[in-house]
Amino acid sequence: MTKLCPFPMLSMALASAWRLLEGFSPLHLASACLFAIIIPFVIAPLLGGLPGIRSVPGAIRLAGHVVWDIVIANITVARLVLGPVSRLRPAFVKVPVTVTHPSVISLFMSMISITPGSIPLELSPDARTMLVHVLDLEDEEAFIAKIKERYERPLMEILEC
Amino acid sequence: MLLELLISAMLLVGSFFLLVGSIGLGRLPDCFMRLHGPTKSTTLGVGGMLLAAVLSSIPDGLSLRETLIALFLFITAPVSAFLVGQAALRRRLPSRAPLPEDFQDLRH
Repeated sequence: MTKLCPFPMLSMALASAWRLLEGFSPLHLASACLFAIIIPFVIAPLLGGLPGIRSVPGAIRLAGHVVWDIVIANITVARLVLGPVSRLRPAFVKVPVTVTHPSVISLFMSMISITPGSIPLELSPDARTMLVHVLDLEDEEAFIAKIKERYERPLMEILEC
Repeated sequence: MLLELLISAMLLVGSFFLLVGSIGLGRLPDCFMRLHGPTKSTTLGVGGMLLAAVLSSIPDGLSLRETLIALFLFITAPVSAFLVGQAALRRRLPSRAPLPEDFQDLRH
């Protein structure tokens, strides 16, 4: 089974995406299954081993956090953009990275990117530090502690990495 | 009637955030700050539009195709922001925020 379907989660996601796009006839179900099996095989060398999911409820809770933060981020950025520009305190912040798996680091960076007022711009060559641009920084320590607590810690708990 | 109101509300919310994103792009002083407008506001902007599309499909059978567009958008927006940021760093574009020293030697 693991040989036929090396990434079961990825296969399931692909199959459901295909079904959503193409509708629910038996033919589409068959093509969805076919793609769900073939595509992971083709891209397996690029993935380099995905970390397994340890806690599905945890993953759903984290996804909920991220969606909520997207809404908050938009309202925050809207307020900052429409307010006086001279009062913004933009800053580059160096954030230490604890996770080591490349896929998890990229997930972590994506999550920072779509949440309140911060965009990761660069990862140091040893992948221990990343450079994050913050639109309006109040307290550097508090900012670092917040993103590590809110995103990195749950990621480490949910994924086997 | 209620559905129509909801759809219009979602369209208005969506266009508001898209507009704010564009205003940010034009108004903020440097490239790094400008990045924030489009990457943030457009996700909720397009999200609102897509939610309106999902709602409008309810009378003739719910269609969830739009949720896929939202998903792809959330996956790709950070990548494009990251790439623009990388280009800006490498071209040493002026920035209001000072760049930390150990990241300055990374530029080649």
